[in-house]
Order: sequence, then structure tokens, then C-alpha cells
Amino acid sequence: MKKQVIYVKFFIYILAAIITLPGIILAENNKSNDKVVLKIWRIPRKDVRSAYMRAERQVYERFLELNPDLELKAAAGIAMAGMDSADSVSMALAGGTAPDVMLSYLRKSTTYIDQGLYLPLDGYFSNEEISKFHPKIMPAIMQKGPPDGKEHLYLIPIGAPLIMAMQYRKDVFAKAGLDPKKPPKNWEEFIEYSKKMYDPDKGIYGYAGPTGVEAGWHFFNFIYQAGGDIVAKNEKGEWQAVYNSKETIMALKFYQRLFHEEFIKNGKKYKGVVFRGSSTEITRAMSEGRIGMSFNYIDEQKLFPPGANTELYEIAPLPVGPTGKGGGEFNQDMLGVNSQVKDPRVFDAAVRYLKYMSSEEPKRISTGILVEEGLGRFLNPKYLKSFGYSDLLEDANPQWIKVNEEAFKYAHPEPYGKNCDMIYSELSVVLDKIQSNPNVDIAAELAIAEKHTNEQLLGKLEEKERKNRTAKVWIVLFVIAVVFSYFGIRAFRIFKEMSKPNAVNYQKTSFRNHMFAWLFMGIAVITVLMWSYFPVGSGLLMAFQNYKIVGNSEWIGLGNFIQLFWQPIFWQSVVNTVFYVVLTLALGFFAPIILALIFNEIPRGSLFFRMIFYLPTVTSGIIVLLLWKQFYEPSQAGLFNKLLAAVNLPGQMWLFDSKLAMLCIIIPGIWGGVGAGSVFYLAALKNVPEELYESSSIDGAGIWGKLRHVTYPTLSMLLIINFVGAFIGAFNATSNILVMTGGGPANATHVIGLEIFYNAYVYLRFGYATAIAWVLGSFLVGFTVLQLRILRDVRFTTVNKL
Amino acid sequence: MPLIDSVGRKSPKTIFIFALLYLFLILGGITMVYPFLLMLAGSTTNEVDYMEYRVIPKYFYNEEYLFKKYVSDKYTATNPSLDLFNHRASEYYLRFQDVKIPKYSGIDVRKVRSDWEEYMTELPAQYKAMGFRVVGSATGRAERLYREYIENKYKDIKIVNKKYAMENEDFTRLRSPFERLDDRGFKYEDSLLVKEYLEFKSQLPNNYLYPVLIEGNFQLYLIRKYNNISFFNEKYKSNYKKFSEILFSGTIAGTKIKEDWEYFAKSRVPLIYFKLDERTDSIYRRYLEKKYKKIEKLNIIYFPSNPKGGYKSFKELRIKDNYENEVNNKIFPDILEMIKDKETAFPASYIKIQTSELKFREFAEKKYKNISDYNKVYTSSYKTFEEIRIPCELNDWFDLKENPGKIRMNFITRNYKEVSEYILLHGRAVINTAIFCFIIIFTTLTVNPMCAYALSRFSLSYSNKVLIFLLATMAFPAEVAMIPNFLMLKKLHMLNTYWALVLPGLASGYSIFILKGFFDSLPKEFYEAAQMDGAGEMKIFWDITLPLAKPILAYLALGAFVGAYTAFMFALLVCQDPSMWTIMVWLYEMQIWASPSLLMAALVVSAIPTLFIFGFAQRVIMRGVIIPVQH
Repeated sequence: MKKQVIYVKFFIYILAAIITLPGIILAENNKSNDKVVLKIWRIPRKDVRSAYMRAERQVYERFLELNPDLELKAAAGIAMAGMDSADSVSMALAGGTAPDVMLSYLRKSTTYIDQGLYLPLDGYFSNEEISKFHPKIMPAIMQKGPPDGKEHLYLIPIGAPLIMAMQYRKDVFAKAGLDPKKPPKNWEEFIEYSKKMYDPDKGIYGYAGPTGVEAGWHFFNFIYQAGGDIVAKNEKGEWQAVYNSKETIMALKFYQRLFHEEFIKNGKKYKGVVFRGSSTEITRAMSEGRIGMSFNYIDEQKLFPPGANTELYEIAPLPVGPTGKGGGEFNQDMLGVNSQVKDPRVFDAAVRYLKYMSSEEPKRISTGILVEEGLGRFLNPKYLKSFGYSDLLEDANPQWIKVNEEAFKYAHPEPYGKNCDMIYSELSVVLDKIQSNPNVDIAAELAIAEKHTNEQLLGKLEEKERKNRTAKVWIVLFVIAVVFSYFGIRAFRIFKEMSKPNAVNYQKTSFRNHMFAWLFMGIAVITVLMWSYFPVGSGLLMAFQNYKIVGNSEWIGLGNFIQLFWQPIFWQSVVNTVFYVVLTLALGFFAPIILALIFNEIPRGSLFFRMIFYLPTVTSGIIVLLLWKQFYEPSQAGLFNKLLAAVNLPGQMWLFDSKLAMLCIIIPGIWGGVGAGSVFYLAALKNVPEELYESSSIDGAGIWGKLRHVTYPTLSMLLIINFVGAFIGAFNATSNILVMTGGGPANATHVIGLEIFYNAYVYLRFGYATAIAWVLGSFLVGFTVLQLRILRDVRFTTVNKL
Repeated sequence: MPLIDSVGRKSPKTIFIFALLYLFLILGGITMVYPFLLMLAGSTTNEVDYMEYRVIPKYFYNEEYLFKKYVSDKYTATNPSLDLFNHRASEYYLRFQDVKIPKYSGIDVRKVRSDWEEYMTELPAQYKAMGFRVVGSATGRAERLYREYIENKYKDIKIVNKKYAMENEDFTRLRSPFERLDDRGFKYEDSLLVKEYLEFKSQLPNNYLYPVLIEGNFQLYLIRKYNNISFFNEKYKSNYKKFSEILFSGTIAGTKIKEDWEYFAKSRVPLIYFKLDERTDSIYRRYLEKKYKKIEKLNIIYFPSNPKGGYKSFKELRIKDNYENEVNNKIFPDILEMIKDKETAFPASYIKIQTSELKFREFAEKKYKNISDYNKVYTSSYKTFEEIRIPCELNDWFDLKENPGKIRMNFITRNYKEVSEYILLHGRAVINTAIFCFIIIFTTLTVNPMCAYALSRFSLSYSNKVLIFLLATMAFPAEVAMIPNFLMLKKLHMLNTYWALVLPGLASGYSIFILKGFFDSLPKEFYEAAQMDGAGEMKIFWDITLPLAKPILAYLALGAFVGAYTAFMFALLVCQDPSMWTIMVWLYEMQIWASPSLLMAALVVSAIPTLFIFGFAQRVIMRGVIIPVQH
């Protein structure tokens, strides 16, 4: 008895040591420091010598000088390929790596405020301080919100406000016979100029239009120029999309002309004038002198885009629309205090940092450094004058000052209502359609887009529509509930059969045995209770909530489901998932079986080939994916394109081809898994007594006969278990697709798993994501119960004959 | 041969079937091995040969190929620069892949080498640039020497950071200062960093350095301007066959192509190669006065920290005869601007330029006196010393020839060196993965077996109910629990700790089910006998049950290891803090910035643990494979 106690103690000690070890290692990192540590987004590096970085660094150092009791630390997080910086902020927020002082973007500001991610700052900033902020930014930083739904100040603008202007290359203008001093003033001139510069044979374009979500962001400017707007507050004070207007239709028609208008130049017939590409591709092409005009940010302090060559580039206001109105997007960096800050000392430090960053001091420092670096002539005279560099005023370029003033006059803040960032993707759908189809019904598409935006993204729905949908959702949920309960009952029956007590005498079970049994089972039972049952329960509730990671989540009834079933992207993800599952099973399921059959058949070399086929297994996980991603290089220099070229076939875009992408994702998995998979089948095959084959041979059975009557029955259990497992696994597939394509191109590989991933961890809509997970669950529950039923009927055994 | 009859094995039909099967296996085997070998081979390549996808990179056995890589490695700042090499090559190449070995038959190698040593040693520092810097994302040989030099000098990176005003995490992040000696406005910064870098450079062997060729830049400028040599000949009534024959003289008086010479000298030649005399003083003052008007304004720009202590009047300003050591970096651009400025009309006759090529010609003339002697040694056919092309390419080839093995080895190991340095710097990823795997293996071997043992051993009336409780979670698709799990970890402040990685998967109903089935099949007599001997439950579990279950446990442990090692998405979500990244997350981050060949090396390195485990655990896999059998 004593010995047992020692063993148990020993065990508990080891377990405790193992579990606390990480804690100890972590604690080592958090060495005590009497300074208050404030985590900010990034710390400008000391050894980067560019003027802008130096200015930023000086601003940072000055803050530390003024606040010797504080220490600033950079927050670190993950960078996902293909996500923009605002999305990375969201992921960091979800993952708990977000800094104490968070940078905010206009389009995310209301969403985040509403989610309770920022602490109210009223009372810490005087009216005088607030009055210095740009008036256009005020409604975005002062909003009704948590914790009490009253109006609070959440965000503090820093740095100079940004405005969209047109940047153009003088040399491209000159080559096309245009006067570099006369940029296009209105839409007609804009299209005229674009046609003149257009020379696709040399790869030279007048105008570059971004693709995908960036297209929406770019297109906003045209709506403003047509005199329209994107969002507006309705009488209830809620944000509502208002872009289904004649102004937007005007802008879309202009957009359509840019892409499809036919014209004749030098005797050749052309259609459309636009260079299409991502914003990085556009920047590159422009720096190579292949693009004449693009839209770019300038700011109030720096009149000219930083780093641009003044001999080649010039700026101008954006062209005005037919109504004669100009318009460009207005933006500004803002900082807020992360609501996860609990320590009052850290909060105090954060407020001090915000006050400093929004004061004149950073502007003074950066102006000084830029002047020192000889960039004085790029700076706004307003800044030069107020910081004592009046001597430099005469160098200022009057053209730039005019552009700056003009641009700000027509500035429209980027939409910042709740979930406004979604407008980009909705509008991009319309723009994508216009790009690919010259005859699309613009008005109809626009109406659909606005309806989607309002009902799904801003939570607006007409009463009649809502009732109609609610009814349908009730039916669907009822069906789901029936499915779950039907399979629940099935599962219960299966278990009942399993739980028939064995013929053992239980009277003998002593208290001591019970005690030991629970000691042994304790961790497992608690783990399963806590990490399997509890989440399912709370997940069930979450599906009916607008879940917030901070503060109280609100009940929204069927809201999540009402959105979900009418969301095209959801249905597309369902279709993609089915396609993925079918393709994976068709290609991947039978390969290891066939391989095992062959291994079992060949007289010599079986071990050698087994090893060869097993080799890829060592490059497991994302190593396989990253390796193949390299081979899928879409240029002519890529491995597969070279192999194709060797047999005179045209090169492919592989992962960037929406028809091939799914196949390309699946193949590496098969490559890496076929050898390991065949081991199981081979083990099962070896378990079949040779005599069975021999006797059926004698009975005159051929290969097929033996396969059907001898091999299949022995493999059947394994086949079914593996098939169901592979099916469920394929349905849940997420991470491999995330690594390979992230859902692209054009959502061609966007599966349900990714839809859940993005909604939860990137858009922070956890309730909605859970609702999707439940729908996915209802697709699968039949199979998981089937899996259990099979398990009931089998026993697992090891095979020693291999 | 269960399916195919063993009786008719010799029949042509059977032989045909077997042939087909073997063919299938061989083709399949190639598909399995080929990408794997490409990964290994790719990890030893660089930008020049990565895209060739050879299973054995050509430079392993071919010296000409090694030369291509060698020069691409040498003539590089942040990326291989073909222009830099073309200036000294006998042909004009379009890609590094086209580079050929220079002709050298009949050359007096010993003499050529000693000449070169002598010339390079004599050449002043500002004419010699350091080669072998950072190529793509892999560190070159000279850069590595630089690091070692500074490390030997200071030992501690903290001291270096303080002295140099830098923020390097360790010595592997240290970079030599920027140096573009052929850039017109380039000027060394006045700092300790540069001072010590120059000290380092001065003791480098000559094969790490190359002379800066202004003449080469001049020819390149002409190529870009005229495109075709005939257009050039037309303009100057000359008859050059190649642009590379056009020479650049030190003064405008010494050249016939005055117009292009003047333009090039005024707008392209770096100021550090200029010699200006007092004749320029008055032009200089006039220019500054026109530009700044008031001396106060000049002082703001020239002495931003202390404008009052600057010049009193424009008269104080004077031109220096050279600007190699000019400290104030505002003065430089003004002089460049003055020389270039059209309105100033700086007289070209005031310009005197000294280049590496001119210096080599002087050197050769001094040494050989007679051009025929020079021609004999170099097997060339120059008519005068003024025509000599500087023999850089030849000496590059001999540099390589002297030590091909070491250079080849450097190419083979360089990506691995880079990766291992990166791993050491971000060593937490390795430690994290190790701890994570260790905990997972440990819990797999304890939590599940203990539970299964209890269910099997202690005849509990409710044991099946507990099993069902554990197993029933399988009915709920994993996706449903994942988000609440994540949020619970967040609420418990367990994100970015090992808890987040380990806790949710601590127990598995499936494993418990399998193990219980296995334990049930063990003969009960063992337990009874042990109990008779007075063994406690722990001892029975530890000494009897577990050893019997060894194969299956080993297999489960292996599975747990592979699962933990390759965990990606969950690990990425719950541990976003870089200090908690596992190797897989780190690899994912790396592919965003790394060059393909470096990434290949990283992939190979990360495959080592699994290769190792699978290699040594073959028996475990073979013995532990479990298959379901019907009851």
C-alpha cells in the first residue's frame, strides 16, 4: 500500500513538473522591471537611415526622453500571406498579441468600437486638444458605443491626414505626345489620355485598375467624383449603404468604358485601356515606366509622395466627374487604447502616449528632420511656417500646394460604419463582373450588391423579407434539429448495446478500486468534459449570439442563420467543399489500396519499393505543401511548366488558375500520404491466410473473383473506417488550403473551413462562424455516428507479420 | 502472390502482368523520389541555378558552371549585378547562366597573378569595392568574414550595438555598411561603423575585392544611349567594332568623344574620383549664392543643429581638391549639382578624373615599359598601353582556379548555414516544438493508457458508460468545438502559452477506446498473479500492462509526435506571439520572405526530425500498426 502511494505521488510530481515547466520558462522571459511597459504597434528601427524612418525614430526617442518612467515595446504577431495589415490587426486581437495602443483604420474603426475593443478616453483630452483634430475625422472617433451605449471618444488621430491624388509619369505622358504640364481634368480627358498612352504591344498603359477587393477601394473615388456617396446615416442614426444611386451607375458606366470601350489607334482596333493587377504589381509596373497614371495617397505634411522622383513624377488632383465635382478618399491613422489593458498604470501610460502622438511635437520633430535631410521643398508651407523654417518657403512648388488644397476640399472619409470593410468585397463583385463581361446589367447588379450590403453586412433587412427568411430558417433549423436528434438516438442505441455489462461480478468492486479507477480516469474525463462537451454547449449558444470578445454578447436569435443561408459566398464554399471532398476521395482514397495490393503481389523488391514510397512521409505537414508550392511556380521557369514545355505543352498558372487550383492543392497530400496509407492495407492483407486464396484458386476463381470474395471481405472494415475518416477529414480540410491558396484565386478554393476561419479569426464574427460550423456539423453528423457504429463492431489488433 | 495464381507463373500473361506492375512501381517510385531529390538539390543552389531543377546541380562537377556562380556571388550588392561583371568580361552577357570561362591559353599565369596582386595592393581604398556581400537572402563569403572580424573585435553584440547605434539581435544580423563606389552621390558616412569597416576591408585578401570600373559604366551608358555601335560611329566618324573598345580618358582634352564625355563626367562620375583645383572656387561661390541667396539659409541646411555657428559670408566657402573624406553630407550634393547644372556651365576642362583603368594602364606602363613585353605575358595584341583592358575577368577565373573545392563547398553549405543561424537566433521555435512534442508524447503515454487501464481493469459497473461518455464527443464534428475552445483559452488567458497547445488535446476517446480493447484482450491471470505477489495498482500498470502494450503505445506515441510536430493551424491561432511559434509556424512565416533555395534548405532541416524518427522507428511502425477486425 505504501509503495503504491509513492508511485502515485511520483506520477503526480512528474505530471506537475511537465505542466509547470513551460510556465517557468515563460516566467524567465518576464523579468521584473520597475518601468511601466507599454506595447505599441512597432518601434522604428535605429539603423534604417531613410529620412522618414529617422523622423519616426526621433519622435519615438523624444517620447522616452519626456517619459523616463516608461518603456515602449513592440507588439509582435503573425503575418499571413495575402492578408492586408488591417486583417493582421484582427488576428492579433483574437490571438491576444495586439498591442496596448492599437493603430486603427477608418474602415475598421466602428466595427472595433462596437466590439468593445477600445477603451473610452473622454475626460483625458481637453476640448482644446480635441478641437485641433481634423473635422472630417470627428464622427469616426467620437461615437456611441460600449460600455453604456453613450457617445464617447475612442480614437485619437495622429500624423497628417491623408488624401487620394493622382500621380502620373511625365515621361510616359511625353512619349504619348501629351503635355506633362496638363494632367487630365475630368473623366473625358482621363479616358482620352489613357487611350493615347495605351500601347499594349510595349506593355505601356495609361491607367491601372487594381483587381479583387482592392478594386472596390479604388472605385470609391469614382463614386465620389460622380457626386455620390457610399454610406450615410439614416434617421435612426444607423449606417446604411446608399451607393445604389444614379451617381454610382454613372461611375460604373465610366468604369465599364475604361475596360471595354472600343477605339481605333494607328489603324488598330482596341478594347479597353486598363492595366489589371494587384496594387504591388501596379506599383512595380509604374516604376518601370509602363503606367502613366495611378491613384496614390499624399498627405497634409508631405505634398509629394515620399521617395518619388520629381523628374519623372508629378501629382494632380483626381479628375472631376461630369457634374464638375471632385472627390477623393480621405484617411488618417488613429490610435486607441486596447480594452484588454487592465492595469491603471499601463492605461495612464497609453493616454500619455496618445497625447504626445497627437500633439504638435511629433510634427515639429519630423518636419525638422525632413528639412535637415533636404526634403524641405516637399513639405507643406503651413508646416514649415509654424515650425520656424520660413526661410525655405520660397522653394515651395505652387502646383503641389494647389493640388493639396484642392484634394482636401473634396475629401470624403473612407466609409467607417459598422462592418463597413465588407462593402469593399460586395462592390468588388460588381466590379469583377463588369471587368469580365461588357454587357452586364449594371443597375441590377448594383441593386443586388447594395441589398446584400445592407441586409447582411449592416444588419438591415426589410420587414417582409425578414419574416419570410425567418420562417425558412426555422424550417432549416428544424430539419437540422431532427437530423441531430435522429442520429443522437441512433448513437444512443449504439451505446446502449455497447454498455451491456459484461458478465462480471461487480459486488467485488471495492471502494479502493473505485478510488483508483477515478484517480486513473480523472484527467481524461475532466479534459473531455471541459474541452469537448463544454465547447459544444457554449457553441450552441454562440450560434444565436452576436459574440463579442470584449463585453457582453447580445442575443440575436436567428440572425446569424438568416444572414448565412442568403450569403452567396457561403453557398460557394459549400460547393467548393463538395468538389474538394469528391476530388480528394476519388484521387486519394484508392491510391494506397492499389499500392498495397501490388506490394502484396510482387515476388521481389516489396520492401525496397515500400521504403521508396514511404520516403515522402518524412516531409510531413506543411513542408510538403511549401515544397510543392515552389514547384507550382506559374512562370515559364517553374518546374512543372518546364516539364510541360519539354513535351511541347503550354505552361499553366497552377495555383493561380481557378480551374486547376483545387487539384493542385490535393496532389501534394496524396504524394505525401500514399506510402504511409498503404502500410495499413498491407498489414490487413498480410493477415489473410494464404490458404484462402489457394482454395479459391482451386475453385477456379480468377483475379477479380479472389479480389471480391477473399480480399474485399478482409479489407472491408478497414476500408469503411478509412473511408468515413477520410470523408470527414476532407470536409474539415482548412489548413492545407490556407497555406496553398488562402481560398483564391477568385474564391475557387474557398471551402467551408476557410469561411469559418476568416469569419472567426479575421472578421472577429465568432457567433456567425459558429453558426456555419453547426451547419457543417449537420452535414457530417450522419457520418460521425456511422463511424461510431462501426467502432462498436470492431476490435483493433496489431499485426506482427509485415 | 495471393491474387495471381502461383501455378501459371511462367505463362506469358502472368509475366506481362508482373512487368506492368513493376513498371508502375518504378514510375511511381520516381514520382516519389524526384521531388524529394529536387528539394535536397535545390537547397544547395542559388539564384543562378535554382530554376534549373537538376537533381545534381551542375556546379558540383562543372568548373565553368562554378565560375558563373562565383562571379554572380562576387559582383553583388544586394542582388547579383550582371552589369558589374559585364564591365570586366570579354563578352557582353545577358544572364549569369551564359557566362563562360575566359580564354587563357598561353598566358604566363604566374606573372599575371603577381601583377594583379601588386596592382590591387597599390590601388587606393576608394577604388576597391568589396565583393561577396549578401546575395538574395544568403550571406556571401566576405560579409561573413566581416561579421567574424567585428565579433572577434568586440565579442558582445550589445557593445557593437551601442557603439554603432544599431539594434542587431546578434552577430548574424550585422550587415556591413552600404557601399556604392560607382554611385555619383555616394560618400561614406562619418561613423565608427564605416571606419572599422574600412579597416576590415584594408586587410581583406585581394580576391575578395574588385576595382570600381568607371570606364565600364561609361560604356554601359553609351550602349544604353546608342544601342548600336554604328550609330555611335556615325556620330563621331569613328570605326569601333564594339562598345567595349571605347575608352574613357581622365580629361576632356584626351578624348575625341567630347560631347558624351562631358555629359558622363558631369552627371555620372562619382565625386570621389574627381580632382578639382582652385579655379573652381569662384564658380562654386557664385553657384551657392544663387541657390541660397542668404548665407543664413545655407547655414540652416549645412549645419541644422547649429546654424549660428556656420559661415559668416559666401566668401568663406572654398572648394577642396578631393572629397573622399568630406564629413558634412550636405556639401556634397551641392557640388554635384553645381557641376551638372546647365546654367552654371561648369567648364569641362576643369575636370580631372582618376579611374581604376587609368591606374592599371599607368601601372602596366611603369612595369613593362614596352607594350610587346606586356602582350607576351598576357598573349594580347595591344598597340599602346592606353588600350589595355584591365584583366579582371582573367584574375577572377584564376582566383576560382586556386581553390575550387572550398568555393564549391561554400555554395553547398551556405543555405544551411543561413538557416541554422536563423534557427539559433529564433531558437525558441526549436525549444517550443521540443517542449510541445515532449509534453504531448508524455501525456499520450499516461493520460489515455491510465484511463483505458482503469476502464479495463477495475470491474466497474459503469465502465462502459464512461467509455461512451468519452467516445460520444466524436459524434460532434470537430469544427463545432474549435471556436469555443479558442475563446475559452482566450478567457482563461492561456493563449500564447504551452497550455493552449496541450490542454485541448490531452485526452482522446478514440485512443482510450483502442487501448481499452487491447487491455481487455490481455489475460486476466497476469493481474491475479501479480496481486497475489502483493503488487499495487500502480506497479501492475507500470510493470505489467504497459510493457505488454509496448508496440501499440510506441505507435501511438509516434503518431502523437508527428501530430504535434506538424501541427500548423491550431498552433498558429493559439500561439501568435513569435516567442511561442513552433517550427511549422516559423516555416510558414519564412516562406513569405525567403528565396526559394533558402526555403528548400529550411524545409530539409525541418524534415530532419521526422526523417530521423521514421528511420529509427520502422520496426515500431511495422509492429504497432493496428487494424480493425470484426468482432
